Amino acid sequence: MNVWDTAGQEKYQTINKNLYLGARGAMICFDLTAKLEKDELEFWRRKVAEYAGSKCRIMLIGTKSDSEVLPETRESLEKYAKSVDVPYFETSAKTGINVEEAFKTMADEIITKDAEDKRLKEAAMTEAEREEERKRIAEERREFYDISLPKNDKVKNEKCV
Amino acid sequence: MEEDTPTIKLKITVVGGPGVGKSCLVGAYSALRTDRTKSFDQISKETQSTIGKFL
Repeated sequence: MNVWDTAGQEKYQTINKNLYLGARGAMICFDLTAKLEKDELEFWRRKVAEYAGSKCRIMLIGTKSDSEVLPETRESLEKYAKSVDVPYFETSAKTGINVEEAFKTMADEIITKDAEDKRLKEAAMTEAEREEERKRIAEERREFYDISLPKNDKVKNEKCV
Repeated sequence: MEEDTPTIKLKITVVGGPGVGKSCLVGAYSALRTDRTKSFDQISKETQSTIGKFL
């Protein structure tokens, strides 16, 4: 597992773009002791989708959980994670709480969701193959009836006479 | 005969605004995996303003 730590400051965002490239997972961190900016959650989610692609799995992290947590920040993070169906962890680098668990869950999430995508793709391919088979059978039947029916009007006319 | 264990390479990026504790989180994870004796103060000292770091 390769973990890339990015700069938070806006002036380094050009460098950061490259750090998102090819990322299979993004852990979006928020300080649990600070108030969230308006639309901050959506801002980061969109940024990850734009730079890393829509297939990049997302996880929300509330940091500094050992300190005095702002209940509204916690609530917003929990609500948002639920609404966009992504895992949410509250961690503390100081005490080590949930740190390993968060990274492990991120890796598991990527592997599980990738396997699920693969399964769905295969199911879709099977359906396409079924459609192909239906077309092939229809074509065979058409050929059979073509043989059974008189080939041209001339023959038909001759018989009539 | 031993079979090769399949491995998957995963790139995970840690993002967020300045001062939220991204580097400390990565530092703590690194310490938990490699050097459990490392204190938080040490991690905190090592993690200055980040431009972009690879673990």
